[in-house]
Amino acid sequence: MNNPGNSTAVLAGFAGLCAMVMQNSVARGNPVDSFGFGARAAAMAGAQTAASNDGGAHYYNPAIVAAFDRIRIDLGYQFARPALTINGLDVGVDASRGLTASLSVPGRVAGRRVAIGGGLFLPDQHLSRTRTLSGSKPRFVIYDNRPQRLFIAANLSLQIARDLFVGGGLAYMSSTRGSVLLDGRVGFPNAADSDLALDIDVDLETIRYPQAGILYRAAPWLDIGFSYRGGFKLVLDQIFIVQGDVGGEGIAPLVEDGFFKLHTVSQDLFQPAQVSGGLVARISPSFTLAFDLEWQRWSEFDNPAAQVDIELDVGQFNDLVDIPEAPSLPEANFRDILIPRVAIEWAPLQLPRLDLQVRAGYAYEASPVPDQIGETNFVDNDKHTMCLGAGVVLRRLSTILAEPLSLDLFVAVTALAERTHAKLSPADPVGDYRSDGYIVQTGVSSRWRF
Amino acid sequence: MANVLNRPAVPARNAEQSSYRAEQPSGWVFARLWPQLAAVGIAATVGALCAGAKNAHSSPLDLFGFGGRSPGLVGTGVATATDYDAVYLNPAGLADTAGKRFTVGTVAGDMALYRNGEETDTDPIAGLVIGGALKMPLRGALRDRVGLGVGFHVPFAAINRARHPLPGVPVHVLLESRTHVVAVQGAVGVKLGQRWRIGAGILALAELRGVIDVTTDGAGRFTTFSEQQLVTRFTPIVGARYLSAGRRLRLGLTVRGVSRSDYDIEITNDLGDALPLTIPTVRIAGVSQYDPLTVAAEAAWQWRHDLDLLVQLAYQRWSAFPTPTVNPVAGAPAQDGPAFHDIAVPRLAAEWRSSRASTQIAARVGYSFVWSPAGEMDGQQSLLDNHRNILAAGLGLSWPGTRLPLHIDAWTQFHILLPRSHTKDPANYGPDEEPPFDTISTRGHIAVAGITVGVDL
Repeated sequence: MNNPGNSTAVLAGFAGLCAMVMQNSVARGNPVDSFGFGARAAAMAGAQTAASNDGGAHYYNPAIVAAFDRIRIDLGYQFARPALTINGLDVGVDASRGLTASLSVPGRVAGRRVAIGGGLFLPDQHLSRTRTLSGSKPRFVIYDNRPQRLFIAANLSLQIARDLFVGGGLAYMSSTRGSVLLDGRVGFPNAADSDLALDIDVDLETIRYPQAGILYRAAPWLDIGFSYRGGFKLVLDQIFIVQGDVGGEGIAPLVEDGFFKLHTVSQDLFQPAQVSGGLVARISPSFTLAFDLEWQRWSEFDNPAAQVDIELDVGQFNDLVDIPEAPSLPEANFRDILIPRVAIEWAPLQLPRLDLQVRAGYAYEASPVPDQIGETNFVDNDKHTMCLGAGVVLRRLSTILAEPLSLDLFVAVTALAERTHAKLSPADPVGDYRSDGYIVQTGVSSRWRF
Repeated sequence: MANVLNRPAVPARNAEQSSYRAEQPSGWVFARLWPQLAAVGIAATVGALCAGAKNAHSSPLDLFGFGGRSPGLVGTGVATATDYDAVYLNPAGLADTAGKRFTVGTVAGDMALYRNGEETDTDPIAGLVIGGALKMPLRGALRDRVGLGVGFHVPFAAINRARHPLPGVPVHVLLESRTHVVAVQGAVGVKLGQRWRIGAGILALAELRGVIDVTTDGAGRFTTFSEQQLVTRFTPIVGARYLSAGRRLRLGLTVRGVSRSDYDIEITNDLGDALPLTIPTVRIAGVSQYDPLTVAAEAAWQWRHDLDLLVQLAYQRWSAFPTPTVNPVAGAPAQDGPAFHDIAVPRLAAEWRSSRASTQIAARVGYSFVWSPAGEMDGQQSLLDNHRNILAAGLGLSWPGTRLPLHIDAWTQFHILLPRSHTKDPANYGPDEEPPFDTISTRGHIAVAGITVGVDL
């Protein structure tokens, strides 16, 4: 149907589609936060602030790397399969899988032990994924897209006293900022007849957030560690402009020099600041106990919905355009949480050429999300993580590899305690709902010393 | 007498030392270390100033070279690099890396590009260089044969940039809008005997793909689903090197694959019930970063015990350079292609080495001429570029085997863009089309410098 108002609807359509772009981003933390870094760490429920002895130190406590006396290369693969439900129906949260890798190079400078290195978690489908969904749809705000991004960090650590090591570095992420301009003619009545050209100016900007750690060897059998990981908020700041005439090719335009501009700003990714303290006690030559307590600052989390500004000029048809006002954003009101982690490592078999190690761990993570009694529908539950793992240390494998090689594997289950959200308003369009589920994780690692 | 390779030999460190006792440096030791400390202080100051510069907007790897030594030699090093810079120049060089070394540095510069006498608004250059090289302490048949290297170039702000004006608007496409992109590289080199080395590595880039779908909910309001992914794209780099008896002659060959980073976002819709007409699918797509297939061959001749001469010829396949942006609507008339052509780039350089007490000194100079791959822009495209004369100089100071074994390299390059003009041919435009210009003249220059500090572990 040829309706002059339809030409404005074309521009309004572009306005609408972009008005909703990123309108309801989801929180996305760090995949390593969720599932650990390396098979040994994951088998020990992440209680690694003092207990790490491999490339996982690049995440858990960079100071530990300076205590290494060998070059280390760690390679592994991890997989996590969520089965999360709302009202008994699986919501289809994607699995997370990817490669873990780290390089640690110790040495001495001016008589002091120093080390450099880095760690990487590389999802094997993509480096990162952004996803927006309808604002009214309940979604697991932390798990929906949390594991779908790259983790990369570089660290420097050194020994500053006989029993004291410090380390720090930077981890990297990126955010998008820029503008897209379409200039030309918007076709009418046939929109496919449009003739538009593209002008783009978009940056993928670097976000660097710090991490640091301390390791203190209080006794030959006791190490104490502290670490800090900076938080960040990634903001998507995008401008979309369409300008030009509206009409058919070769005929006088219905609208001359029409203009539409949409500016959207939204929080795309969020990671809370984290401070952890831990200790590892070597109770006997074959038995080790590790404990961590971690604080995560979720109270800084903002509602990820987009702030949208629209400017529109379609001449004589301006009065026909009705773009709904964006609703005000309710506060997320997340709270800070403490996460205790405990783990044991036992070596029942220690032979000249082979050691066998068995590991177990438990962690409890309260949900930072309040009851969803109002407009928001951020779903999250208290979590209990139970882990098991095993490893072997192989010595004198060949004349080329003179140093020991470690192979580790783990399996873990994170159980989400059932939670019910009862809405205050009986007219709420979503209504009450119940959430629960579990996440099964597994992985393998190889640890090479040179 | 300096080692014939480009780096002084570094004594192997005792990695098995188990004592935790840290030695407190004495005042006397500080006095001995004053050259290194002074040099580090100067380097840190320069680095801080460079970090304060505005956003970097170009990719130095192909424009200037990589590392602290090669840019001072106008981008040569295919036959001689043995440090982290070999991950880009020639991975085979890592087979001769000495010990363990970590390097950090910075690059900064400014582009002055002129169109019809007016300077363009081109942002300065600033970025961070990080690298590491490591001799793998393997035993048996692989003893002293394998080296690993990693190298990063990280712009201080944007790690990728998609910037291109409307088709036909004049732009220095290979300089001001070519790319601003992070480079992540890793490589390994292996000795095959006394004479031959081979190596391979990868350069990782990211590209963006996605879809945005617009529909309506039950209440008739617009709602969307969008999913965008940043995916990795790997470019291979392979190299080989030959060392003659006595190592007076070194030959190198490197092949670098096409390095490109694309973006492709499709915007679809299902608004037939809400609107009485169909909105077309819009595609926001193009190429944000492109380096062509490059084959570089180089010879390094030790003219005297303290003087090396280097000559390189590199082939670059610019004929495959794509149109920077794709038409957003499928029915729009196709754009003219860039019609770039392949080029050969000659490079000449010299490095002189000396030593004073424990300080090793290297002075470097180089010259290159880069033909522009862009032809006459008389059609719809206005992708401007100029032939360039490049002058380079560099200085290296190092203190191998001392208590603070530092390696400091500084370099500078000056690119002179030879004047050039383009005249539009009216026959290439329709009766209702107006060319963006009749004739445009271009010229300019680029000044860039960098400094790196490395330490042996």
